[in-house]
Amino acid sequence: MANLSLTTLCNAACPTCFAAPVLGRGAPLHMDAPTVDRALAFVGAAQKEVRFLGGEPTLHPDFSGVLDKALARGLAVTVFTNGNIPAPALERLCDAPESVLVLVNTTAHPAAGNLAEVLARLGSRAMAGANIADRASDPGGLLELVDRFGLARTVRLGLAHPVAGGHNRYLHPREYREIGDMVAGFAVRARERGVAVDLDCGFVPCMFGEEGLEALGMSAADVGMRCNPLPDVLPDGSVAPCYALAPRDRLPMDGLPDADRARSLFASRLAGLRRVGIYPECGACRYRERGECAGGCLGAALDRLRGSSTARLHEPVSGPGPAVETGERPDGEALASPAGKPWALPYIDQPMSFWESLAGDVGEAVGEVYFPLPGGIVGSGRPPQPETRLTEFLREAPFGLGVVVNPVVLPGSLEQSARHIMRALAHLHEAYGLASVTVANPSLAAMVRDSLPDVRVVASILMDVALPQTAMCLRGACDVLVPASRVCRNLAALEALAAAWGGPVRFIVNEGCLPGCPYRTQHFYEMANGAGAPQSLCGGILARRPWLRLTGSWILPQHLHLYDAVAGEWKLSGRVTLQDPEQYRRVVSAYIRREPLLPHEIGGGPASVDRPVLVDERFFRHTLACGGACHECSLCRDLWEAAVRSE
Amino acid sequence: MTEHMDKGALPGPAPGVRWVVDVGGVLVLREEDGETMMLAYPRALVWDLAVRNRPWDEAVRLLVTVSDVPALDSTEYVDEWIAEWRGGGWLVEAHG
Repeated sequence: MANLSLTTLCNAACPTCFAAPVLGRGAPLHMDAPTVDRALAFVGAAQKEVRFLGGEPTLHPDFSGVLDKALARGLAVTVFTNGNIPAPALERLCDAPESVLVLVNTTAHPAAGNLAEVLARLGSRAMAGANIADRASDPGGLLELVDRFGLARTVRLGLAHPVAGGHNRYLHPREYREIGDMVAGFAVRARERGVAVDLDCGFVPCMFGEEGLEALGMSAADVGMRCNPLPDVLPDGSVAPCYALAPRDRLPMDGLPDADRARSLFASRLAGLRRVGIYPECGACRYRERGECAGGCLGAALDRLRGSSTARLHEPVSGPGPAVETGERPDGEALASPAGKPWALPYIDQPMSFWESLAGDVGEAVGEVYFPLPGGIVGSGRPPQPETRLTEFLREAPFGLGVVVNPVVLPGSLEQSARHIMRALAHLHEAYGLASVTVANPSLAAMVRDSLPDVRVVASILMDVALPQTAMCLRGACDVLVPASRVCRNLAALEALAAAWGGPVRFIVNEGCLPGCPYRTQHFYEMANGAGAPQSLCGGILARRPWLRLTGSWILPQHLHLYDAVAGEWKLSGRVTLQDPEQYRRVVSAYIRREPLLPHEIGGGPASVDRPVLVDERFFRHTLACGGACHECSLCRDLWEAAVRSE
Repeated sequence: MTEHMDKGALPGPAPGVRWVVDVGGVLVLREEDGETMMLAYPRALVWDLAVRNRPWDEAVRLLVTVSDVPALDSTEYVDEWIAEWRGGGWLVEAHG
């Protein structure tokens, strides 16, 4: 058995998708006819069954032709679909021989639904499946579908797995035990109704225990040896051991004799990783000792590893371009950053001509423009700013829209605040389509992610994430991490943070706050909720030690390259300080093109450098490694005093 | 132990060397060839300090603290283990 990913195109937006980080969400790429022929020969030389995946495989423009070719080779075919099948492909599947099985993932998130019609038409040639992503993913509804539509009397359950270097939503192995109880209970109910349960890859016997295995009617080995990667042939003709590992391990099909030998080769390459297991206890587990468990999903094992990988992470196989999957938003991207558009810019209250002109200049690099949640429902990290043109902007913006909902503390309990926030976000998303929501509260992040699964959730700088363990805790709740300002000039800390996080890291390049400022919480509280004209409380500190301004959390455009190893995205602050449109354009342009600026020119905050100081790369590199040990170093003070003397 | 005061940081992990903390110690994996090495405690402790670029003398001191190894032997153990890991290509001279 082997998998053929026929197309990158998909008409669903599932947050758990482990194919999207591999296939990309840019311009669709369909497996072309010569590659289909080679792939079927590659599979057929060794095996009797092939599985069609995607994307949504039935969206391949010649789906029927590909199916016919596979059948002509005598291959049994399983089609993995989200159930949103176009009419011609559905017709073909309804007429297909019995060797064709259609596995319908009923937990997918298709943009439009004809699931009932599809299941009714396919009847017993369809098998219902569900992907379990959390404890709320009760598969009980599958049994109703089996009876109602006369589906195959086997249902298939899968677990949501992590993808190497990706950021899909997945079920963490620490939750497996609870899921095991749920699945075992489901299996008992299914058996009572004459329905068998089949398990997809990544299940482990210890999540069930002996009682659970008995309820499933499976041996430990039946369950535990299911991570035995099948080769996946991707639309570009490359072969990967499985989707979870495809970003780090992929080979050209032409260099491999057949699917069996590809599988053996990958098994050998992955033998070391196989030893890791998904739990710290795996090394001493009796199931593994007895050869009854392979240690669970290799993607989850990879997720446990510390240290930097040198494995090359492959680019998605699709090319850049507008997404077409959902058709809801032309700029399309939801969970991944728009390709090549790493910048988030602040909204300032300018006419549309300003934004259109800006889009012409630098639009290729700008993923979104962000603004505070309108309506005064909750504060953001800054005092309210003019927004007379905001509605027009929302309606016509040539950029993705990011909304910030990040007061340093919420004005009431989460329960009280979240109801209003979520309602407003849902309205905004429905009316204008949001690209991202920035929050400073992890529970609010989880709510946004659950309610708006196609919107990226950004962990605000005000969440103050400075430690790897904190970053790790946010996995699954957020898509993008903005590190705490106190570590923005500490490259070692940032490397550790990025490794623990594993997803995109976004840096605010010109905030300018003092790292670890003791007034920070009160300052941001006053700005968001309190005083109309908040004080810059650090003024006293800066009056006594003005050189501390050189230690702030800013990065000059010419020094961004020093962060390339840890940063994936950039954000410009300046809703207050960059309101002058000309200065805004100048600063944006310099940052995007990495053209030099002096630190007093970047539109930073009140603690930023307020006079011309020449900050060269040697100096800046030093501050990235000094650990803020100002008590034993005078470099910043010396540079500051030299600049003052030269004025 | 005094001689280690001048040795600076322990060597750090070689590129592509990754590790995971398990119940019985630390499992080290070299991505390039899939080679693995299981380090039980207290060797795992010294590995942990090495990958965090901690000073050599700290490894010697902590080894004495967390195990029953006498101070003089501790120095030898750290030297021996680090040499072994360096020789095997698991560690390289610390960067930065």
